[in-house]
Amino acid sequence: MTAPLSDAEQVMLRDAVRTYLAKDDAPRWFDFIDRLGIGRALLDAQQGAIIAEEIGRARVHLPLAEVATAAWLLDRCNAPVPPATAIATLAWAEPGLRYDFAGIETRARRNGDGWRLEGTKAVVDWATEADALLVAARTGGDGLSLFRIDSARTDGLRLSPYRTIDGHPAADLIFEDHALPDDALIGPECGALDLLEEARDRALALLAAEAVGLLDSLLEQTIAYTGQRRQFGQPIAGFQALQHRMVDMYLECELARSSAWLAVEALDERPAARARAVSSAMVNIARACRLVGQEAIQLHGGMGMTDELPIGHYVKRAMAIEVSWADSDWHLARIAGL
Amino acid sequence: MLKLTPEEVAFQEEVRAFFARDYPAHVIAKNKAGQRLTKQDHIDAQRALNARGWLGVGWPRDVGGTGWTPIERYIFDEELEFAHAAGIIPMAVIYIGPIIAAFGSEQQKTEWLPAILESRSFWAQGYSEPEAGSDLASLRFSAVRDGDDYILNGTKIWTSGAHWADWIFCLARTSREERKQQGISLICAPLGLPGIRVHPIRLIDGSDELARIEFDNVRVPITNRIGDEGQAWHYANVLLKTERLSYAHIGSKKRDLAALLDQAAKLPARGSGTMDRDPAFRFAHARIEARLAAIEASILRALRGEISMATAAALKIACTECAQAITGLAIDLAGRSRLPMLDRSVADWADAAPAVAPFGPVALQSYLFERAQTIYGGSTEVQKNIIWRALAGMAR
Repeated sequence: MTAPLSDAEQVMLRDAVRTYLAKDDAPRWFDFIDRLGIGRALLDAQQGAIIAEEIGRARVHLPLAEVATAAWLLDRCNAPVPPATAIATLAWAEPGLRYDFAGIETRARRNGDGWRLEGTKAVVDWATEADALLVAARTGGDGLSLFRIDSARTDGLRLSPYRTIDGHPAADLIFEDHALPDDALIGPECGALDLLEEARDRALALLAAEAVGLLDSLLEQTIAYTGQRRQFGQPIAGFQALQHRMVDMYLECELARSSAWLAVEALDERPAARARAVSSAMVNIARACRLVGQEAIQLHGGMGMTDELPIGHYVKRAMAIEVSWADSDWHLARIAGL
Repeated sequence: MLKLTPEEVAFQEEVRAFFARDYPAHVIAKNKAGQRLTKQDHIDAQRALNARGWLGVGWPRDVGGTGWTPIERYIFDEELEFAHAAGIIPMAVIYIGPIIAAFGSEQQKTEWLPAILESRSFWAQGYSEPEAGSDLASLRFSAVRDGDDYILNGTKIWTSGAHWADWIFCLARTSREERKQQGISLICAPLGLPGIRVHPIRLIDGSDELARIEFDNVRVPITNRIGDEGQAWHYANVLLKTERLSYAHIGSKKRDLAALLDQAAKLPARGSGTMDRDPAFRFAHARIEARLAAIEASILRALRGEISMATAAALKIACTECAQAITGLAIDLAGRSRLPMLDRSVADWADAAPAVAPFGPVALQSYLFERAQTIYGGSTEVQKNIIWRALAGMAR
């Protein structure tokens, strides 16, 4: 853990990232980390959240949550952490589970000096761009373990690449008797479940912060559009019915911002408190993503439906964040202890 | 009053049997598999309907229409949607056909109407403009008389199916009057004319079936005008009256809701079991089902009696918001399988993401596309203004 940033340092970091993204709307991850010199910031949730919010505001494709989460896992497992400029991503989701890691069926079995991996991973964000994949798999009796795969190792790996709704590169991965060396196992064998749960909460805190940037921008764009769009002889922002809808968006944005803080600051709490805070945050974030996204499109009218305006791209990223690691019902169940 | 009469039940069975036996199976298969239909698919579907005399819905019998009662029409729509048949592209058959039949010249009726029924011509609608959306009456698209011709200038936007259409019907300003609803005429143009440029608009769901169309000194004969000069607003309102429930789509809402339960049975739930046993999902599903039951009853009530402007506006809001709620529940059910953005124009589109339930990408694109329902055809805000005008009368 690094020392918390002072207020002035937070503003400096935010401004540096904002300025960089204002100049480059299709940044490469390597350049983004390298030129800004923010590699170390990835291991700190507070700094990560500041960066994530700017990524959301600028709506650029950068694997911040993926790389930071993988780096955190590797660090926690005392495994070598690749330079932050490299892309690493965690493959956990599968067709046979909704959001619970307990449902993971991908299996790694010992084979001589190494391992053999068998199973299917669904919608692995950034898999096609990743230098390293972390794969959650079942080993031995029933426990979960983590494996690190050099993504150049494609023997026995079927990769189906596509773009997700937010334009990110992703893939489904099918491992068919995929051979791994002994040292591919990272962390304790059968001891990955708690690590994965904490990794999920850390990723969610970053995504919550990114959502704040997205939602604030959606509100700003909507206010600007309704201010210049004229119908019935006046800017449509002059209609009180529309003003109130934008005020509703604002209320959600404010609660989303508070929720993101709640999540970030809870990460070092004990697991139960952390889980409760992060899930509370994400229930609010998901609601805000849905409501602000829908209102932004509606208030833009037909223009909001077009691929040409940024609005839809922001909305689709927000829709991805809603379910990236879990959905509202999963979070509600976790809060309720069900 | 909400129940069908024995005669109507018999008609319902007849329609159901038609879609099961005499309708192109490949169209139904594509719809069920979530694959986008081609123009030829629509032609095949329309020809099957026309062979049975059932394409001219909402047209009078003397021009080849069905002459159905509103309830018969409703039954037909519902069975079509239950069967996963292709929705009738409304521009020609539902929007302009009845106007041509009611207000068109004899020549227009004998040339244009059979071409529509025989799928020889597809039509597009030129209503909205970049600066005239909700405030449609402020449109600026101009038609200026020049001898026996009109010269058309301006831009139309949000035109569906322009890439398939041969003709477009346009609201055009033929004179400046005190009331902006006056001085508008309904003028038709073949889309291949010199001076017409069609620019496809890509939408957030990845489709590009809408277009912006520019007219630069396009010349059409005045015989391409439907009805009298300056009367288009009146004609459009007559149409609205007869067609204001055509967006109800109760059948597809019931079908889509039922399909969600089938999908849920295949998706893993939290812990163990499948999503069809997940109480949170089932409650959300039941809540929409209850809403839909009330909306369906409202539609049947309206079909059996007179429909006021306020009723129609209220039903438009209720129907479109319900459709959006269903797509919202669908993406909730889909969970992470909503994430892949896939091109559904090919038969094996789902193979691109082998680890994902194909239902997810379809649900996602529907969710995005159906956001337009509360924008087009008079936005929800405009409908609420209409309703308030009726309610305000009660305060006086």
